[in-house]
Parts: sequence; structure tokens; C-alpha cells
Amino acid sequence: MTGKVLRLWQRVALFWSRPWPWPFGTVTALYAAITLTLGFLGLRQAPCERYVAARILLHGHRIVPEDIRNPPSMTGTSGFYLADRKTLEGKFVAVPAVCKGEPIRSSDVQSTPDLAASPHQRLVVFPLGSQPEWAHWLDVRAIVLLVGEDQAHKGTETEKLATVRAIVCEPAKDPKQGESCSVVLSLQEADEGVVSKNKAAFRLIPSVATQR
Amino acid sequence: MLSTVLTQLQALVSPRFVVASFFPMLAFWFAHAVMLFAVNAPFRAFAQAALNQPLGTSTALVAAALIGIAMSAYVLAAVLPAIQSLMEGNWPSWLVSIFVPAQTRCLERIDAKLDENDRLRGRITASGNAPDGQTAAEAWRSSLTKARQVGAALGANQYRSTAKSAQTVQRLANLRRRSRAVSADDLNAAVTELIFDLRANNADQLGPDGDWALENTRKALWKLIAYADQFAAGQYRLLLNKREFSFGALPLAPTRMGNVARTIQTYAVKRYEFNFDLFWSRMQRLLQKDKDFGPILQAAKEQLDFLISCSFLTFAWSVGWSLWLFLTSGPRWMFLAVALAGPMLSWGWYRAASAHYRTFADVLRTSVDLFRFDLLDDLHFPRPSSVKEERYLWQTLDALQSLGEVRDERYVGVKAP
Repeated sequence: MTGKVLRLWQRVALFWSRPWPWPFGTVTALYAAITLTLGFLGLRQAPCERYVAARILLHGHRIVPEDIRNPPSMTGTSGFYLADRKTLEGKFVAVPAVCKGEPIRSSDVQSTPDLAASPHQRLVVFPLGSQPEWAHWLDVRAIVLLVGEDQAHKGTETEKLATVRAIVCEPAKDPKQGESCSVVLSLQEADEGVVSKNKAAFRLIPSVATQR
Repeated sequence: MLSTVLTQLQALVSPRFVVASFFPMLAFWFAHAVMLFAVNAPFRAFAQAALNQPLGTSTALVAAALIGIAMSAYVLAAVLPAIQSLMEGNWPSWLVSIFVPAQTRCLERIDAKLDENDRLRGRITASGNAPDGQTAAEAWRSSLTKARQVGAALGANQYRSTAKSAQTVQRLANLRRRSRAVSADDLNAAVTELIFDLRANNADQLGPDGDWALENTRKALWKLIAYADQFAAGQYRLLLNKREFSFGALPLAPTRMGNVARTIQTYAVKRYEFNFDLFWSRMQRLLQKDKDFGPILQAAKEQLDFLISCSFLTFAWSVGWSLWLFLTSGPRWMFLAVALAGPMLSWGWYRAASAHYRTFADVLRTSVDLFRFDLLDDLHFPRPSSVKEERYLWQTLDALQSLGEVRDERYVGVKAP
């Protein structure tokens, strides 16, 4: 027994006493093994940093730069592993709501607004040509007043109540002018004709109670 | 715009700095910018906005970036000798002892190939199987001829192409088809096998399969012997040069580059007893003055420094980003790509630098050959008249300079006061 242990010890001592013939190969193999282990066990497939909502975002809301902010994590604050803001800006919220501080997933937004009209309601696109600032101030579900002269009854000013269903914008032909926006309004079926015919004559006045 | 700035910069500073430090540093920062562009949204937005800036703003941005890069390039230029020293294997002794066996194995492989070469081309001594003065090839051919003569006296030929000796020769012929070396041991075994068959069969008669298998095998082996001999002759100088230009005197350095670096000193000492490490700085003045050799040396050093810088900066970039990606839980694929491909690329640069170091070392050896007498003139020592006298003179100067021994040597070309 003692002889066997002694022989084993001699073999171990002989093994360790001789120089290791593949030092660079061993270091390379170890490095590769450690890297692959760390990569597959320690890291995620894709980073999970997402922009968070700076305020509550309702369904159909068109996301503007002020709506999103960097996540509060160390890497998130400095903007690492975040997609471009452009992937969210200009998109419409697809979920019922995104609460303030919650991350905004790509599945939470869509490129086009939901414009299904309820019964007895009609949708009208109202350009904000002379009132572009409302694109910033208005939000979905806001109640607005359309005020203007009805061409059929000249001299009388007409008022129509409408609800904002979406705000849609597209780049203006002149890049210096920024975006050209329109409001998609939901009106009573009876008001649709008047508004559609007199778009140029109507002004949009938001109801104070519904402003953000 | 950028090219104008670079051209002007090149005129202001030395080409060596621009090539060896500035360009690698420019690429280094550009690689950082690429990574930042990939993983950092604000930087991405900034870069996209910067590209659309008016000319004045973009010029200011580029100028600021170039100034920053130039400053970091100066830092790199200052630490480059230290990096080169690290790559040459100037490490703590315990680390050297771990990594040097890899280099020793390379040297032993070359030595083994040289031994094999010697066995093929060298003359077999009295202790061998052939008479003195015969090469192995001659001895094999002679044995085959004799065996064939013995077999020719017989009346039958039972040799088939499936015989063991025929298969052995076929295997060696395949080596020749692939331009591989045929070893002396393999040839010896094939000759021994075929001798038995040649003695037992008549090669002048057709075999049982109605072919000339025995004679064809003998001819094939004959050609293989000639091939092995020619191959060894071609390899000999190649191997010897590889040994001389890849490994200096013992003990070996732990890195390829270190061993190539040591060949310069080894050559100078072996050839002239010239202590290159000691006299190199004194020789530089002479080399720079020479309008033909100076630019050659400068270009070789520039290219070497460029490759060393690229290797180091690639490694630094890779380590930095690997750590950052891991510590901040970055994307897995990116971490793996940076952590695995970065060091591989760095190693590729290092191998290129090591290969180029051979050229640089050759230029330095040539400088010793060409300028050592000019150095003697510069030091006001007489030029020697023979090889032995020269070796003694350099030994004396070495003792004077490095050991501080006082040895008398006559000065020449010094004006009397």
C-alpha cells in the first residue's frame, strides 16, 4: 500500500516538475472557456433597458420627446443599451395606458392610431395649419370646441363639440417648418357635414377641463 | 477636410509618430466610437446630429477630436518602448519559466528537423550499415542494385502490387504528391522491405499478374530517394536560416518576438564579438546620417512600431469593452464577439509584428556589418586589419565600456592639443 502511494506521489511530482509544454494553448483554452461560460451564464440574450414613461400615456396617445425618459438604472441613465428614441417618438400607445415611470415596450406602441368610430359618431380630420401649437397641448380624449361661420348660414357663428381621437403628424415639405399635424376628431353624426364643409372657417378651442 | 488636417499634421510632426502612433490611435478611438454608436443611444443621436451640422461646427468638432487623439498618441509613443519590451518577454522570471517551454519546443522542433535533414544528407559513419563516405541515399541505391542483381539470378517472379513493400512505397509516393518530406526512417524501412522482395524475385520477368510490379516499385523508390535527398537539400538552408533568425543564444525568451530580438545581439557577438546592446545607441547617429541606409532603418522601425501599436491598442480596446459589457450586463453576442475576436485580432497583429521584427532584425544585423568600422572611426579607434584583430578590439572596447576594465588601446585621428 505504502509502495503504491509512494509511486503515485512520484508520478505526480514528476508531472509537476516538468515544464508544461503548451502554456499559451492552455491560457487560450482557459480564457475561451471562462469567456463562453460568463457569456452564456452571466449575460442575457439582449439587454433589457427600456425608456420609461415620463407621464401617464393613454391609449392612442402620440408619443412626443417629453413623454419618455431614460430608465433609472446606471447604464440606462447614461443611455447604454437603449434603442433610438425615434423608435418610440411619433408612435401611438397601443395598450390602455402606460403609467408614469413604467417601461415602454415595443409591443406597447403601434405606428398607426386606432380609429374605429362608435355608432352615431363620425371621424373628421381637422388640419392644425394655423394652430400648430395644439398638437403639443392636446391629447387623446380631450374635448374641443369647433367654432366658426357656417357657409350655409352666413353671419351666424356655429359651435360644435368634438373629442380628440388622435393627433397625426407628418414631416412638412419644408424641413425648417418641422411637422404638419392634424387632429382626428370624433363628432356627432349630425355635425359631420357642417364641420367637413367648413374646415377652413372653423377654429379649434380646447376645453380647459380636458387640457393636460 | 480631414485629409488636409492630416497632411498638415504630417508636415509638422515626424512621419514615424504619425504612422506608428497617430494612425493606430485614430483607429482605436474610431473603434470606440463605433462601439458607442452601437450601444449608446445619446451618442448615436449626437453622432447623427454632428453629421448634419454646418461646416463650421463640424470643423470645430473634428479639430477637437484630432487634438484629443494627437495627445493620446503622444502618450502611446512614450509608452511604446515599454510595450515592445513586454512583447519581447521581459517578464518576471517565474512567468518566463511558465511560458518559455513553448519556445523551447519550437526550437527543439527545428533542431529535430535539422537532425532528420542531417540523417538524409549526411554521410553514414563506420558505425552505420554502409561503408564510410557514402551518403544514406547512395547506400540505399547501392543496396537496391545489389539485391536486384541477386534476384536476377533466379528464374521466377512472384511479386504482386499488393505486397507490403509496394504499399509502403505507394504511401511514400503519396507524401511526394503532397510535397511533404519523406523521412530517413520511412525510406530505410521501405528499402529494407524491398530488398527482401528483390532478392527473392526476378525483376526482369513479368509478375504473376502479368505486370512489372517489382521493377516499377524499385524505380518508384529510387525516385523517392532522389526526391527526399533534393527536398532535404532545399530544406537545409531554410531550416538553418529559420533557426538563426528566430532564436538567439540561450536562454530563450518566452515570446517569439523576444527570441527574434535576441538574434541581433547573438549575431553581432558571434560574428564580431560586438556588443550590440551597448553600441547600438552610439551607432544610431551614424545610421541616421547615412542617406541610403537611414531611411531603410526608419521605415522598418516605423512599420514595426505601427504593428506593435495596433496589437496593443486592439488588446486594450477588447479588454476594456469586454469588462464594460460584462459588468453592465450588455448583449451576450456583443460580449462574446468582443472578448473572443478582439484578442484574436490582437494576436494576429502580434504575429504580423513578430514576422516584421525578423525584417527589422535583419536590417539591424546589416547595420552592424556595414557601420561598425564607421563607429570605430567615430570613437577614434583604429580599424582592425584582420577578423581576429577585430574580435579582440571589440572585446576590449566592451570590457572598457561595460565592465570598466582599463585596457590600453591606441587612439587615431585625434588632433594633438
